[in-house]
Amino acid sequence: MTTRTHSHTRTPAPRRRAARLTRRFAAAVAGLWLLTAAMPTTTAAAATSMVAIEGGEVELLFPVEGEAATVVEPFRIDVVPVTNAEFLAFLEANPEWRRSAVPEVFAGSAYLRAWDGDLDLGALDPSAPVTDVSWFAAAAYCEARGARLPTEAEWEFVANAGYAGPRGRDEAGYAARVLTLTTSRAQRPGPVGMDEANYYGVKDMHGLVWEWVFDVGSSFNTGDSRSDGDRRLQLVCGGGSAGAVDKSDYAAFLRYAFRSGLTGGYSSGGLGFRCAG
Amino acid sequence: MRDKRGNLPLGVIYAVAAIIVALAVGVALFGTSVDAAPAQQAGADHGHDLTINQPAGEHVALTDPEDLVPVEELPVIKAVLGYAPNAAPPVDRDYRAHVEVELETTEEVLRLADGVEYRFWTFGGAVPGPMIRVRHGDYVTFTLQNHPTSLMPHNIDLHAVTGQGGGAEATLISPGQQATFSFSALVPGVYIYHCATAPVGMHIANGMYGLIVVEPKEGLAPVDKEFYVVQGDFYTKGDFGERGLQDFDMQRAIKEDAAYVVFNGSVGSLVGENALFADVGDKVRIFFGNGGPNLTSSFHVIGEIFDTVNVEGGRLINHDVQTTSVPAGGAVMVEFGVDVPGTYNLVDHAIFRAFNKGAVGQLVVVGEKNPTIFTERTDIRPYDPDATE
Amino acid sequence: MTTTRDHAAARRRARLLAAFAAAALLAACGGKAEEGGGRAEGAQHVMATATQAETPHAPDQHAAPAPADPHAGHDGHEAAPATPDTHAAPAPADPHAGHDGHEAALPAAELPGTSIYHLGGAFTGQDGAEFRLAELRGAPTVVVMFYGDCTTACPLLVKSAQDIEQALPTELAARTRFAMVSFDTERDTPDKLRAYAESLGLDKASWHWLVGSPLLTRQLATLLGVQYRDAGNGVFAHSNLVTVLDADGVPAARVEGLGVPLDGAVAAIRAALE
Repeated sequence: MTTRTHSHTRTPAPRRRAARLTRRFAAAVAGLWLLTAAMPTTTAAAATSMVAIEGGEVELLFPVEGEAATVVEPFRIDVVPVTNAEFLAFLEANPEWRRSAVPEVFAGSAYLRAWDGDLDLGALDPSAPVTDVSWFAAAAYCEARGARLPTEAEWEFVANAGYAGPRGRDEAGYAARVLTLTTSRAQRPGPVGMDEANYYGVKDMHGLVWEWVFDVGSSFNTGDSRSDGDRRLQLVCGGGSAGAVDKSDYAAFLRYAFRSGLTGGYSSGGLGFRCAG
Repeated sequence: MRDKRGNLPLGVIYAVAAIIVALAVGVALFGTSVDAAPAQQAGADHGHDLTINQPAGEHVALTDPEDLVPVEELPVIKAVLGYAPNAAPPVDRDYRAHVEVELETTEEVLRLADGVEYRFWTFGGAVPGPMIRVRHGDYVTFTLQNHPTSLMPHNIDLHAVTGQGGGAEATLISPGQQATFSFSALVPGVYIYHCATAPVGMHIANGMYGLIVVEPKEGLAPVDKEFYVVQGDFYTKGDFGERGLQDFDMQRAIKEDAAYVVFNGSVGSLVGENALFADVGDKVRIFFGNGGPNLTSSFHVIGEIFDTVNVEGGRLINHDVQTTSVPAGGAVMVEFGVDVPGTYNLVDHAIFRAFNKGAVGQLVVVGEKNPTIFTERTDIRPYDPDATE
Repeated sequence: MTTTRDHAAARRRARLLAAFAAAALLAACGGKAEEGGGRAEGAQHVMATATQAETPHAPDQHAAPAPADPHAGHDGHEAAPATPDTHAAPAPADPHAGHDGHEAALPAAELPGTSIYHLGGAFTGQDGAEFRLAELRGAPTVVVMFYGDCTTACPLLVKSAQDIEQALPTELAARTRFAMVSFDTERDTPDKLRAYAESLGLDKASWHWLVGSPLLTRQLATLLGVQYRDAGNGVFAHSNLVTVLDADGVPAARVEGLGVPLDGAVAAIRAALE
């Protein structure tokens, strides 16, 4: 004896089958989508994390005579500096930038000098920032990624941010913290990304390495901070930098002093870069 | 020639008067060769005589024949540097030379006090940097090398240099670079050199200073012992004695609130087994500099009196001085004889610096006592002003 | 703690001071005819490190195409926009495959390691055509970086280049090339540059008036040791430099500042041609 327990009529077989197939198809599509989204992509641009910066007026240490306040347009910047592993991948795809191939105009004899070979990191940590790279090599790397080096104004805009707000100067102890980060860097920088992110979500602006900027030949101050009012007038026409705005921002002084001596082919174990775009 | 009354003819009187007037005018306008020599002699005569009567601003000119020799023809000498507290050896040369000097800048963690370390920026791996010693008129070619392990660019401003920034712009170098420039030592004296890279205060506060001595042509009088001491103030986050690796504290530096005031870069650098030594009867000379960055030193040697002090490292000599003022970025040369044995403390007589911040060093003198000059205690007994007789 | 008002006030003061200083600066700058004494960074440093023999170079020295068209004429093996240097093909065996033939027709003698002509990007000339620096190879070149709207220093710079041309004997001057490269990548279009050249009577075959991308311009300036900065409103702050490159693009003479004697530059050109 069978008792009818269902109150509705049973669905015809073909419709049930169609529904089942549709569900499975949908599940397969969803599964594939999830799989591809989770899968690491092969293009460098997608692998490197960038954040959007809204832009605005930059408080430069040395405002430029005769110039309106510097304003940066919205831009994106890497969260962390470019690593040894990423630069290695770039060299694998671009052999003309390998140590044994690069022309002297683009990189001096100290280029990648800590590497064991053209494509051999040796004892270097792959997730540490790449250093001993010239400006030309850094610019080429960013270019190859469809990005570019950040301008000095953009870099300083991000560097001036605090941890809680866009103006580090407004935070107690910020100047001292940044100064300590800047002057207590390790000889061999450690892995990127270990630092606390700043207000914009950017890390390692101060504690790991100096960084190349796009306009490497545009800070017109000399390294001798006592004579910064005197802009080598006879060599430079149309501008320069007046006195510094915030003379207690020692970390900024250190950065400007470091950048003022840079030339394109120079490289150093404490100098790396990140890209913008 | 005389007339009947014994008077000279009028014409003769007029003629003689005219000659006298002409001579006077001539001397006034053109001087005499006799006048020039004393001025030159006085100019060349510097060093140990009191020359405060020298007209103000008069330069000690370089006009000897050797000063006119082209640089390419000068003998080339590599400078012998002095590592504190040892002074560089006397120049001991009576001819002009082309001196080559090399200094290297490094950044290293060194001892500031017991249990306290500090990230010093240095010339030559120590604070102060090495002492450079040249002769008045020498042509100096200076090479500054910034070690590749440095993080910061560095340069040098030598106060003995006449020229842009004292060499600062010529020598600004990034890590792993070296730069060279040349200058003539136009003026004798005891001079500070220091790093002048922005921010200058921080570079100096981290220990980048030393002395360059330009000896007068005839050299300095021989002495028995020479020492090289440079005072500096240090600004750390922690207070004096707080253990660990201390960071530079910019706010304290701006407020001139020094945690440490020391000789030769660390507490106790001239104390105990590091003390300076001399023998009774020695004539002692100390090249004493003050790197600052902020504080002026009231330099005194307890139990001694300076026989001579080259005030501010220049030509002016003072005698019989107890305490001499050495400004930040300045230096002095003091000389004194040590007559009786004992331990003579070098101090900054702004006395809390000596006892609470480390500004004390020792000169230990050994030898025979001389009770005529000094006795130790000869008597001690109770003293009670209320005791009845 | 400083307030917004303080900031505004401070900015006003700073602007006032800046305006005053700018006026003084421009006045002084316009009147100045002295040369500078200081050194500039840049190519000098690279020259200073030239102690070793030229580094072995990838056999293909032809320039990669401009970033705008990364795949034209290439076999598509590269990653995104090419580096400023050589062809990035993984196999150097056949470097000429697929090139569009813009290079100078010269024997493939190796370019010295210190040659500026390693910079392979394409500028645009006053005729609107693509121009790569390597096309200047074979004779000495005088290089000047300037911009069209510059009214103070740049005319003097251009004049210096002209003076060099005139100081040379005619047949040597005819063989010397001139590359005038603009900083103002936005406003100095090829047409504007041609008009500028014509106004000076310098729209000649041997004078190349060039403009490139911001990256290429910065790359060239960095190679030469020219400092410049976009001050906004079409004004550029820049250092003043005339460079003489030898036939292989290696800097042979640098004349820094304005009103500086040009004998060294002229001598370098003669040496390169004789």
